[in-house]
Amino acid sequence: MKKNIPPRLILIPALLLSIYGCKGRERANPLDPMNPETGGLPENFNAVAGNSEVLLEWTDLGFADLAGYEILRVEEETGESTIVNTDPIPPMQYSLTDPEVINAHTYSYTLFFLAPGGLPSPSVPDVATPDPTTVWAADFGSPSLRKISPDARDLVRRISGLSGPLDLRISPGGEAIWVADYFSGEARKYDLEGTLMLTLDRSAAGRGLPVCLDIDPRDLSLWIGGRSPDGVSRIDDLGTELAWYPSIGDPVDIAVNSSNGTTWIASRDGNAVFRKLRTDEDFTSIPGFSRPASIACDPFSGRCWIADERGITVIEEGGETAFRLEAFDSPRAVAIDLSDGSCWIAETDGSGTIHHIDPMGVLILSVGGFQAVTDMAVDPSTGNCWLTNVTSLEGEVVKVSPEGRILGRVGRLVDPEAISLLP
Amino acid sequence: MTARSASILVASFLLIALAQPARHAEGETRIHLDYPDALLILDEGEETCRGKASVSMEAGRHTLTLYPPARDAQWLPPVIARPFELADGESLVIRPEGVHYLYISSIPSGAKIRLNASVAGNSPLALSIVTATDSTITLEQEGFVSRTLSLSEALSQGPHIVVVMDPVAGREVSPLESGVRDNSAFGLPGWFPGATLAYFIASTAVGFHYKARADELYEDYLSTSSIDRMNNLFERAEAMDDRARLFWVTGQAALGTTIYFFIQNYRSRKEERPVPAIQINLSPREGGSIAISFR
Repeated sequence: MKKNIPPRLILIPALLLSIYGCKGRERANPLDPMNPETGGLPENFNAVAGNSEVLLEWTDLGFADLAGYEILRVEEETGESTIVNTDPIPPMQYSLTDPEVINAHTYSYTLFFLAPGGLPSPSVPDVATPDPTTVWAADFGSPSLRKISPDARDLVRRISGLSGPLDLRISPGGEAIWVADYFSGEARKYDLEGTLMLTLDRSAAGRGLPVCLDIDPRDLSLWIGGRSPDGVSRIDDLGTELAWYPSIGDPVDIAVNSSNGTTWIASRDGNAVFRKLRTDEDFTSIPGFSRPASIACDPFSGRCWIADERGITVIEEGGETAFRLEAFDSPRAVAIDLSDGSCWIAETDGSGTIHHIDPMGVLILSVGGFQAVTDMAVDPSTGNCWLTNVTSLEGEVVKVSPEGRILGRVGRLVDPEAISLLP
Repeated sequence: MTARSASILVASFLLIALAQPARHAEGETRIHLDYPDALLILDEGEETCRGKASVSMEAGRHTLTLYPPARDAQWLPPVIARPFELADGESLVIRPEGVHYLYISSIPSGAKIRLNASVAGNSPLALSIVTATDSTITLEQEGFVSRTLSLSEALSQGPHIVVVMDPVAGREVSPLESGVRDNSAFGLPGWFPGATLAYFIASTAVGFHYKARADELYEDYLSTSSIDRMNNLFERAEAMDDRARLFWVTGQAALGTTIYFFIQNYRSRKEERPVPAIQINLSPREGGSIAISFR
């Protein structure tokens, strides 16, 4: 029986093959107003706040006929707009510093692409608030140190080569950054540009794996608490060990009173706080705590704020308890605002709330929206609280105003465990 | 061995030989069947005898119908009943020799086939012939010149013979009548498949040209910072894409058409082969049994 092959059996696959071989084009030019992703406003432009300056950076988008760039600055408060560059920026230049800015003012910047014979095309604007504050965070997960822009909108610099930074301090004069690098067993000293200045190996760096540290601003000596073996050591600025205190088990935080040199240490396994007056030969144990996690000292009142599983305890310099706040759920971190003696408290993982307490223990405000705050630091010049927070997606650094407003937030960290700032 | 001699050999195998009737004066008029499993019917009656048997009968005119062995009956027609006459005391011996099988087809088909003077049917037709070698086969069709073949001539051409009828002078023969199958079955000229193939090649090349041009324009679109120019470049790139798509689609359609015609042509050629799908060859072995082989 004759059986013809239906022509569509051949033609339909051929048709589909042809259509597949000639797919539609995407409006992929980032300056194309019909580009579904950019809408004609590319996001290749970044304004990074500095101290009385703003660094403007952008990436090359590969335009062959580009005549150059132009950058518009608008001060948000006054609305005053200015072209930043005096001459057209050539096509091969990808950064510019704007020095004509005032700290604490917020500016919006827009990059314009100058097309030959056509209208300039703008980028997505970016905002920067210059400020003199220097902020560094220790990212245990990366592991690295990250410099944060003073408006908490950008990651500025990265120091890598660490094994597991758990704590860091910027020296009061801004000479150095000390880092407790847990897994390497080292304490490292960097300058503010990220250059390694000194490495203390395990024999000197707390004699154990370094966990916490603080700087005595009066002589720039360094206190390092470590594990295995547990203990605390004091080291001078050049790395020479001055003293070793082995009787302190599992030190997790150190606070040095900058006015008189009194040193406070939270001993987690010892369920105690250790205090050493400058004139004391050794530390004195103050018992009655349950796994203390964080400690902060107010140099003006001499009081020490301790966070443990029961709440917040405030101790006078003499060792007497001033008051106790038990309304908080296992607070994880405390930080003193040196300008007024108030304290910021972060509750334990999962609560997602920080609290601002006045020096008498009265709650000023609470701010939610966090997940696991790991450390805090307060800028005494502004009262802004900086904190490191770990979410389920990433780690971040957040800047909170004294009124509880989020001023800036920068992510792309892994597990930031400590933060330190230089006002 | 040439193809022709091979076909003759096959033809000879196809012949189921039936012994020529022989007359023997042995006092009683009888018919002897010496053909295993064959069925013999005399005078259109019921089964007379089967296989090896001997039947007595009256002298005079009779008709004989011989059915080949049952296993062959599916494809072999019965021996045409033929009248014969036996005198008193004569006997007829039937053996598997002398029966000729032919499958006759003609171009065009439907020709009337006569065996000697008797109409046997219309082509194509299977014939089982018990007759002398001087018998004739004639094919007749209106508008065509009649063809007459001798049985020996027909047998020499094989068991399946195809007779091409010549039209009478001045008559035009339609393609269907001529039996020649070509690509014009769709009303298209024979060069059409070649043309479609050429179009496929050409259109594919042109399509690639336009696609390359579209890619160039798209690259220009991506690398321009002028909004006016980028719109123009994008639209031109899309226009080139459309052209490329048009040529490719039509080219693919042409390719499909070409393939389709080739397949149809191949099939029609296969159908024109003058041999059945299954050819069963019978050849007598020693001892008189029938051997069947498939080719």
